[in-house]
Amino acid sequence: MKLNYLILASAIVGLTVQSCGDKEEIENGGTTTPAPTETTVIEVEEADDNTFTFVPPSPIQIASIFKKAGLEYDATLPNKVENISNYTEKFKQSLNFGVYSSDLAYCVKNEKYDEASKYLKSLKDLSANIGLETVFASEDLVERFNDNLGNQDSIVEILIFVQENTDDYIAQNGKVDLSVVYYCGAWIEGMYFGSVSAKATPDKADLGVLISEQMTIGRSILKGLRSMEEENLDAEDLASSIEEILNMFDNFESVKALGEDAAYLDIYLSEDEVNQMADALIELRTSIVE
Amino acid sequence: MNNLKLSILILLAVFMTSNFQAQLIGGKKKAGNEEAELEAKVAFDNGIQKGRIAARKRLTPYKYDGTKSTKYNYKTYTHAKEVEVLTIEKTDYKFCFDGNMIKSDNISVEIYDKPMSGKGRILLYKKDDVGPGEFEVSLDEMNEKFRAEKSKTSTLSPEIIAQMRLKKVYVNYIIPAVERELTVATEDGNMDQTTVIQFSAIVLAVGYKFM
Repeated sequence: MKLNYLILASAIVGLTVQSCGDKEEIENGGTTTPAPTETTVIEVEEADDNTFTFVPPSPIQIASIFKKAGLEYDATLPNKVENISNYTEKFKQSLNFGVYSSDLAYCVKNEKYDEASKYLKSLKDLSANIGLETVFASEDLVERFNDNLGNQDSIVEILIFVQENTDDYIAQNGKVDLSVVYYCGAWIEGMYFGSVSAKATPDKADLGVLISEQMTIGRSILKGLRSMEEENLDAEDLASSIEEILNMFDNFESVKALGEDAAYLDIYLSEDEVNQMADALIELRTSIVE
Repeated sequence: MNNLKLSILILLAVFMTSNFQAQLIGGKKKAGNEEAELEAKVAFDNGIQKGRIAARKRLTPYKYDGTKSTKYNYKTYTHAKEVEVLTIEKTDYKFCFDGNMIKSDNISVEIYDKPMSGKGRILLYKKDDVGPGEFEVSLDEMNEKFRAEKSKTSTLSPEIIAQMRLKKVYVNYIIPAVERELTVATEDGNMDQTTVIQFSAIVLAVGYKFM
């Protein structure tokens, strides 16, 4: 599609300029006014696509924000690297590429570098299945990662480098659908960490606020899933599950009480509301990694 | 209009081949031209990639969050494209724009608290006459503007308004109308009416910094 419009644009521009040149030659040669108009009809394919576009927080930022809110590391939470062999469908692979991205960020932010190294390798393996192998093509990426184990700033820089490469590759190759799916996986995994922690420590009001804030991101992901170019039943199912969670959230008393202003205020959910949200999110996450 | 002509001339060097006209009208392509067309695409994409890298560099000391390049073309009417940017509490964000792939008439950039379809949305930032070049804005500035505007129109207490913040913002690119129909003479002296589409792009890089 994108190549087509560029080709067409090139052709049109080429045609126009060449034609202008022809006109000048005719005029220089003393030719009088050109003959009556003949219209060349050109089929125009527009560059515009009206796909919904958004810039979500990166997995490393979500991991950082939960860490700042006091989320403790729990080795049982990240998706097991062995599960990678269970993901044979592209949709599930894309989704779990996001899940593992969050797991990697979670391990790095908690200074669990050996585990982080395994997740980086899992991401590299999965990337080959979903057309993102170029992102990890740099031979020394894993080596650089391993050389910097223990230095969180350097490791975070490497993760940012991977994120930038992923974003660029997606932009250059029109893989917007893939980016929505993988980001959705990353978001669900981040929410899963927050949900388990919120259930375990209901006194931490900040986690409830963060979870409610994440619903804003959930709305954008829902819109992104519903705006995918290619029809995909898996994406539609996932969108429905997210929509159910958002509906549940919107019907909480703590949310309804704020009305339209909820869009601009921190929302302090009750313990019961936090538990309901957490249960729904844990169920959703379990379904995507199994 | 002058910008449009200039853009056409600049693109000439990249796109021009001796028999483009015949190919287009005849609906056939020749191998040599496909190569030129591919080069054109590569040049366009490379320009955007350069803009993405440049915009990201200007994020420092903010940490990288995401980049969005928005491609558009000029139409005979003014239109807009929208990008939604999500933000998280207790965090400031820096929005770095790179307009170096704006190849025709300058555009406007406006940022709101609600999408185009939203009622009563608040204009948080506006920059007109955006062409090749760079500029930036922070979420902090937009939050201040938002609260100031809210306090003028809302019945909420000042304490509540002081707690309000933007959880997402909507970047609107307003693309002006341009004339696209050109009438030009052909070799045989006839006049051809040609539609010219000028493709452009603007890049937005977003960075965050915990407060």
